[in-house]
Amino acid sequence: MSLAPSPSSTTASRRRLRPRHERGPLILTSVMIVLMVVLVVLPIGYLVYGAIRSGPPRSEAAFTLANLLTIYGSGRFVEPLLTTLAIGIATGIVGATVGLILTWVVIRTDIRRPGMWEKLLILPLYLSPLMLTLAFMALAAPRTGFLNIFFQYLVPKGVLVDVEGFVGVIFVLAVHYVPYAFLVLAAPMRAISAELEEAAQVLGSSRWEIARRITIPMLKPAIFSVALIIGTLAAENFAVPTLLGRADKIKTIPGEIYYWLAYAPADPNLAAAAGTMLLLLTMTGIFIYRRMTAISARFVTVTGKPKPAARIPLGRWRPLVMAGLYLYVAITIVLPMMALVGGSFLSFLSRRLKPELLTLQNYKAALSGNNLDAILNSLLLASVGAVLVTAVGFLVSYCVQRTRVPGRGLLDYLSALPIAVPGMVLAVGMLWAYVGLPFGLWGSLWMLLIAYLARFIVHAVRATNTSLLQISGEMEEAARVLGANMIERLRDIVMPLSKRALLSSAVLVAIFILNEVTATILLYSPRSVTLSVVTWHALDMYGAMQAFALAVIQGLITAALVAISYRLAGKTSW
Amino acid sequence: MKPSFMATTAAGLILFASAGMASAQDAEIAAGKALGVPQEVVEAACQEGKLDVYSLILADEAKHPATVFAQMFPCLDVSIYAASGGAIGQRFMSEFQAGTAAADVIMNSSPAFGKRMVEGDMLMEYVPQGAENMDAQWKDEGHWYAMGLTYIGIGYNTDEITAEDQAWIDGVKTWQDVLENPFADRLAMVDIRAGGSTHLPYYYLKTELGDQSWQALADENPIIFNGINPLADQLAAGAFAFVPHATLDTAVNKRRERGAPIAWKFPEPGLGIPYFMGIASNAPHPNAAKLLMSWSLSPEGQATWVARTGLAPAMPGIDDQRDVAQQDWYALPETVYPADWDKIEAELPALVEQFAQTFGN
Repeated sequence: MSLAPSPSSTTASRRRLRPRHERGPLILTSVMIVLMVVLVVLPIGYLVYGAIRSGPPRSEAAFTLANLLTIYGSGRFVEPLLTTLAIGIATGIVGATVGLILTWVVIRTDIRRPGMWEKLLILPLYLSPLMLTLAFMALAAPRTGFLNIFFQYLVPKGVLVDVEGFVGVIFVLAVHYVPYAFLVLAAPMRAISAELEEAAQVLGSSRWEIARRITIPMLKPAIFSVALIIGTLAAENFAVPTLLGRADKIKTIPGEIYYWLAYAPADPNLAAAAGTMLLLLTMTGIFIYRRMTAISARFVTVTGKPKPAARIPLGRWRPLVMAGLYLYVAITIVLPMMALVGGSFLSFLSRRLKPELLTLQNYKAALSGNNLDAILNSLLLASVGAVLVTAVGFLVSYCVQRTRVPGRGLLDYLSALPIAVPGMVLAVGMLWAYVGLPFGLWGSLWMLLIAYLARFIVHAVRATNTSLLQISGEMEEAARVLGANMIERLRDIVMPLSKRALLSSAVLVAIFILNEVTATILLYSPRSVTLSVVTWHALDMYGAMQAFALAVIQGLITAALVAISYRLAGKTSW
Repeated sequence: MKPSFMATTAAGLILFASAGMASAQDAEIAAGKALGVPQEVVEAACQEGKLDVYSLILADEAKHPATVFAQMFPCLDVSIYAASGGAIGQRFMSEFQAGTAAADVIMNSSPAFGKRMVEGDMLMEYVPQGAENMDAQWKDEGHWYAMGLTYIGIGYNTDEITAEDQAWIDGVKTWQDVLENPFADRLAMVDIRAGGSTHLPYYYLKTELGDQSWQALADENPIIFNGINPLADQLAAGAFAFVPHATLDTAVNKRRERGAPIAWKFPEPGLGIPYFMGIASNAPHPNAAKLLMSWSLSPEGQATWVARTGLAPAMPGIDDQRDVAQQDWYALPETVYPADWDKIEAELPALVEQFAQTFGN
């Protein structure tokens, strides 16, 4: 895991490659550290600098503690802080738990058509949290949601479901992030060697005992990591609590930051100061996590001859488990997707559904004018960005996990930093840091690629870390002894064994890039408009219905990307 | 023979192209002259060939005025970067301070931000022809001028109101009347922090009608939205019936044009907010920017800006071609409240604090 510490035990040390007579790992690690400093530390440094200034960097502003005093000393932020923490913790626990259960069911049990379920369960990740929220509002808002509108034909003024409020916030965030947990946990779940489980079974352990004493402990780093990342992503989300929490007057730190950045007169320095609070919180979380997973050697289960674990027969429980899966998919995917697709054919959302509301105008508008350029730009950015981010993430992960070079711990921390800062705040740091970039980079598609690399590197590192942790160093060590240099070992041993993790990471990053709007909106130019930007503008000006049409298009593009990745992998499923 | 033929062909092509260019330049010079722009500025603008606009109005909406302008000056390639007022401000100021000249023309709706730009020497001094016709509160002479206005009004979902509600709405004349509305538990508002368009009505209510005006609205248990657009969607859907103050011309009108059962009216005095533009003092294409400013302040330019963007005219005598302006129920306010934007900005932190206490948001 990218957030996991370097193994410190003797066993773990033995696994690491000895750097004697080899300068490749040192050079690679140095290059990666410099890259991370430029990509990550520079924007965050500008952010921290901005928090103690009375105006943007490079302006004639003065040093001040006023922003930090407002955030940390006024008491006004206690409630938003506690709410943010509660949302992060609850979503992290729910997301990781549900993700773990679903992953176990799909990967380890004998359910019918596991490949199909795998594809279905990751669908909510194709939509941004904002779009998913709008879909659930269209479906289950207390007065205007489709479900409640239909219910009101039976019970006038009745409310069948209500997605608004704290529970609704956690629900929607969890629905969005469970697929993330699934994608992250699937690879290590598959990679668990059958030998330990078979040994336990021979010794008379029940399936529950095997799960509790072997499977879950071996996945502990992945589970902690996924809970922490989901919790952090949920805590930094502003759209879901803002849209679903207004009836309960829910206030979060990202929501407050949003006001300071999005509306004039903006106060980016105060937003930067609030960003430091989230930065501190998340860094604390990462530190705790590293302490808890100090020994990683015990998680190594893939050796030179990995033997996949057999699927567990569910027996008489299988119909019940299958019914649960169908219900889960219906609630979290089918119904909101129907609401989204249905809504994309409506002129506007209405309590009085009638045929006259049906229209193709949303799609006509979505596929006209500069929107086609936006679609092409998004495709290019998602494809190139996914490869670039995954490649750099893999190299960072390799330095951290597979070498003994000094500074690898620093590299580990640096690559994890971006997740600690809300996208919008990081975007301001990027704006301040990169605004003077020469050679026409500023305002170009390259600028967005740089931003995406900084923003999403953590996901690629984390995804590949999991895989590398489970590959024994013995094969690489043998190759090194036989004269293979670092590049050859990477090419011939590590990358082939990490193929699934790399592919999974690339797809995930492509999805994140397609959905990214908070940094893009601040860094794009007329030359680099993206699908997420036009979707945001549609939402801002024409209403959710046209944004739904764009979201459907975006979802189809993402689905196509996933299908292509399957083809490239030569598999029907991961 | 062959080189000679090629030379003749090339010369012919150059002559043909020059003739075409001269003809286009003549038309552009004439158009510039009509706008009071000297010939040398038009020629310099065409040499620049480009114009980058940071627009508060979304690209699709700004496309119509940009197209009309580009038809007059085909030598210019107009690019639009569209974002919220805060994002535009952030980007523009950061670029300016980093010495990166990217924007020629910048738009905004926050006179406080406009003042900040003037004080930071970020705007070029330029007085277009016809600027004298604009009311003083919609411009900062020599720096920025409004392309249009958005007024604060009361909005309602026509499917969600009773005959009694409609009678009450018909009777609303002033903002004092709005406070005595029959929509308890059926209304929604936007958070005060959502920009100049929300600062003004809350400031007006508090300073002119007293603290009790806020309390009267809070007692009706309004849903508080973070921005006008999610509120507009839910108003159209019928999630609530009434909005006591919002920028409906710009935010809600698109939904109405699509058939949403929404209508609105403007109590007196009118609470108006200017959507304005100024030329960046480091504009990479300053002459092209002058052309856009001059055209935007011409009667045709003002009418074009107003036609599709939802904005109301900022100058007297402008032909209001908006569809909404043709509706029976629609009437712009007869009077305008003279907003003191410096004072609003100075009092904003206290207003935000009081808003949180009163509305629990």
